[in-house]
Amino acid sequence: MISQRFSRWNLVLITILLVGVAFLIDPSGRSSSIFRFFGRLHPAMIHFPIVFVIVAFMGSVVNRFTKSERWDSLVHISLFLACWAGLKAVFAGSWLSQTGGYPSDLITLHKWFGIGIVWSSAFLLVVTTAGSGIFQTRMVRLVSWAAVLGGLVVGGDLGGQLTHGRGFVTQYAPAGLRLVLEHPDPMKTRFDLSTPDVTTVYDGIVSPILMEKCSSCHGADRGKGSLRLHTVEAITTHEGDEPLLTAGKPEESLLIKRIELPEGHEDQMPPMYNAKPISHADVELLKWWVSSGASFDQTIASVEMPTTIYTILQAYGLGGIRTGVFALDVAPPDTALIASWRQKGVSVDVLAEGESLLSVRCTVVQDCIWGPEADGLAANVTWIDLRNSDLTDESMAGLGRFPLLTRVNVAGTAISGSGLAAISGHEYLDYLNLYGSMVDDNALQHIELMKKLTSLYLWQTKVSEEGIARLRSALPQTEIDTGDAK
Amino acid sequence: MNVYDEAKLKLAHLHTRRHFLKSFSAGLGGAALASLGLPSYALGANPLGSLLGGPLSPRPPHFAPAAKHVIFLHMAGAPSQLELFDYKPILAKLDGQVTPPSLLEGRKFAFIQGAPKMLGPQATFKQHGQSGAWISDHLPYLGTVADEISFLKAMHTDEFNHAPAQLLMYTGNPRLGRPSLGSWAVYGLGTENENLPGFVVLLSGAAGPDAGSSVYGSGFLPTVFQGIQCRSQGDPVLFLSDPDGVPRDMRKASIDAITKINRQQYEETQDLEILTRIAQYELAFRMQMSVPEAMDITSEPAYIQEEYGTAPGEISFANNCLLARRLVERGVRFVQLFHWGWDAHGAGKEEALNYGFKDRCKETDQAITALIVDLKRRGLLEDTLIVWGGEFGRTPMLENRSGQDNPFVGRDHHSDAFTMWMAGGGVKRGFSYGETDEIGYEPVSGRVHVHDLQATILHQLGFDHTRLTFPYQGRDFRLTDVGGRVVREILA
Ligand code: HEC
Repeated sequence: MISQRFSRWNLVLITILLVGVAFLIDPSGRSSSIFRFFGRLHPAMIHFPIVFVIVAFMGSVVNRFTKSERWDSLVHISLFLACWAGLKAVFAGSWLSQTGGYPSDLITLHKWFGIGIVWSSAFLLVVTTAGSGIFQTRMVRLVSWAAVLGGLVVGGDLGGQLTHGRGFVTQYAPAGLRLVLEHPDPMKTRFDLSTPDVTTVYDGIVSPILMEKCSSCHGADRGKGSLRLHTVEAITTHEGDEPLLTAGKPEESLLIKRIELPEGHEDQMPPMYNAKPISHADVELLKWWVSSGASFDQTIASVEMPTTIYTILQAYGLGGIRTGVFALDVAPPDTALIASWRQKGVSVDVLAEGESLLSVRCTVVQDCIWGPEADGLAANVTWIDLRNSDLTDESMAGLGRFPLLTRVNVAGTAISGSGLAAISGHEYLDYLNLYGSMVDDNALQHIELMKKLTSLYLWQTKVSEEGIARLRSALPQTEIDTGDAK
Repeated sequence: MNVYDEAKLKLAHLHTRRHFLKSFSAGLGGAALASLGLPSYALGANPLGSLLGGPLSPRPPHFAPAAKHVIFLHMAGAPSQLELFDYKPILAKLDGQVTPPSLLEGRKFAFIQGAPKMLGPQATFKQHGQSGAWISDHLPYLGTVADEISFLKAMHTDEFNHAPAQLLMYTGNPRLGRPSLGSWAVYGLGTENENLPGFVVLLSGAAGPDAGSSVYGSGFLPTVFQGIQCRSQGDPVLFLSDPDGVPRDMRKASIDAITKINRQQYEETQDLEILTRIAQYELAFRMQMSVPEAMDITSEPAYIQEEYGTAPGEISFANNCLLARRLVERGVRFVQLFHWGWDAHGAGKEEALNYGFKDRCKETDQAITALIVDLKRRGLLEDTLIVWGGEFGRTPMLENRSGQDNPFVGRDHHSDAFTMWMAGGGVKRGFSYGETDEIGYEPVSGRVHVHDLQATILHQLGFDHTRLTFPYQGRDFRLTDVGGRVVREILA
């Protein structure tokens, strides 16, 4: 019914009109109200071409399986209708986009998908009506169908993101699928901040800025002003009239001075024309690097970080800087053991999402310190709260098996002090609460060994005043609270 | 969850038999109201998945927390920063002078009209501790613990009337309907002690907060997260004890039976509010034993009573401070205190800087100081964040509503600058952040908005405030709305 000639002319006409939409409807222009009205029909209109495409697709599938050509006319007419209905939707969409309020990158992509789908369906019509020749090959057919159907799915998803916001489709997708579907956030990939205790400020932050903003002129290919900034060597060996970098003094470093020249100054870097502008945040980061010594081997975590810098880097994906037990690579806890531990009345909390360290609390210590769960999880426990429990010096020996303890609270227990020997060698211990326990001066020999301790609570214990004085001199870094108002 | 799911769910409610009967009896208007007022949560909405295991079971925060508990001491009515912490000697020199128009242009005050006179500090100030914090002689006790405190001297808010400002402080929004700070905390963390509520509210003073119980309500969160008001006089929690003639085991059996029915109902309607109800019945039953024990301050030794200045058996702020410590000790996450009566306009004796205000200082100073000291020596201050403040500040100008000679001195509401403080819970000790101008009228550096304060409190509890969200009416809501910056400057 639809001849090959007809469908070729159809393709030509559609192509011309699509070029018209693509280039003649200015997205930043203002449409008159009748066009706006028409534009707002876009969400309704897009369903028509979709239906026609689906009908055409089903028709050709049935044809294939029945090895007949009975439904050919249906396929052809549906495709013909699909491309014209699609064209209308594209026009409407373009006018709708003129009303503004949509993220420009998404809308441009969505528009080109729409145009692509319409054109592909016109092309598909040519392909399906072709009697023989190149268009009749299986490959061309398959690719054309794939373009139309795939285009509909992706274009439709983009439309969904436009109306419902990014991540609408993937929000409730299983985590694995989400990783595949979601686009990586460019903010999170610009700098290398994943291992701040290993990566240097230069490698992680400074070099990416210089490469992005300066190396087009001061790089491997070109050295404008005989300056190259693409390697450590190039930077350190630069010889100019003024020092490029003065450690600790951004105001005496040409690299910073040239960036900070007043807006419009002819020597300002990057130059006003032909270069990507540099952001205030980048300038702050470069200045921070220079003022903290312009070093090439200081790690991000080791450099003092003012709040502004922290805020900037956080936006670029810097997590908390991990120190102490948090910097260790602890194996994830066995969830079955956690469950059975809880069953026995021990409260077990994971310190934070995705964290392997545990905080544990109980009043009957047998299960808490000695059971099979404690054996299996001892290397994960970092906070232990045995306040007012039935802990004794003997049972406390079990804590020796928990190497990562940082906070130990044994307030109100009957321990006299010898049990503390079990934790006196613990490398990370920084909080020890003995308030209201039975400890006396005999405990001091063990406490004195806890050099990392930052706080020690001894209110209402039998430790003598001389004992306290002795501790104060043995542990000058430790804040010892005896409960006396100073 | 989207609006459509929510609508579907509401429809499901309307179709259940009981609901049908109920709405029938209340008439069609009642049906409409009931369906509007019914909070409902669709199953399968991702963030809620974890609530199904029991809305109060403990959940890990986003990162390792600095604080596990919060005690928020709210001085309802908004105390004057200029008489307590924000020392302005220049204001003393300007006392009695007419405020220049440049300071009043474009400003709106709650009560002041025309050209008011400036009012110098109605207190003498001294520096305290090694940090040299300025604290007035109205707070002689607090001076002794100045080195434990981080002051926020340039707080500001958007609201200059009590109820909206209190709502903003606690729910992040000046209008009704949002969950409160404590509810968000328990929603995020669950409870540490399954026998006690996670969020307890203690009131003292002649009246409750102006904004009513909404400042500790759960808004659109499941109601299991709302603050539970406990009383230091009479029954600690209303309607908790067994009815006469119902022994505890019978009570237990009936609760078990009700829970069974509720579970069936939940299967049918998937309404999270039913899970809330189940959890609440069970919690209430356990609380019958644990709450009276926790709330009984008479078991504290005499020297403690003396330190706090308690009045057992009465309603007093000091009692509530001691209770706060006991509750935190027992694992309650969030303890919210309100003490009424700080609205010192000078319109009457109770409302005067030279009378009622001084009484409020006396009622609170000793107990707050005792609370800090007591938590500290027990090793609890490190992971308990104490927050002190009102809903806004007061003007450097005198408010004189009647225009006549007035023996009572007062100041108007002021939203642009006020002082709050925090102690413990991982904030710096002996520190002060932010500054106001010479007369304490406008911040000049270190401004902190109410949303920033909320972000900071949540941060100390281990939350990224932008990620602690709840889906409602088609979008994710959060406490800090679209604002909030963690005040890192004060973090230790
Ligand atoms: C579009 C090209 C271009 C870009 C991009 C550019 N520069 Fe330049 N830069 C020049 C030219 C040309 C000169 C030499 C003329 C002059 O000194 O102004 C120069 C000179 C300099 C000098 C002076 C060298 C000396 O010792 O005299 C410094 C320093 C400098 N640039 C830093 C930077 C930095 C830092 C960036 C990136 C933030 C940057 N430039 C980006 C073109 C560029």
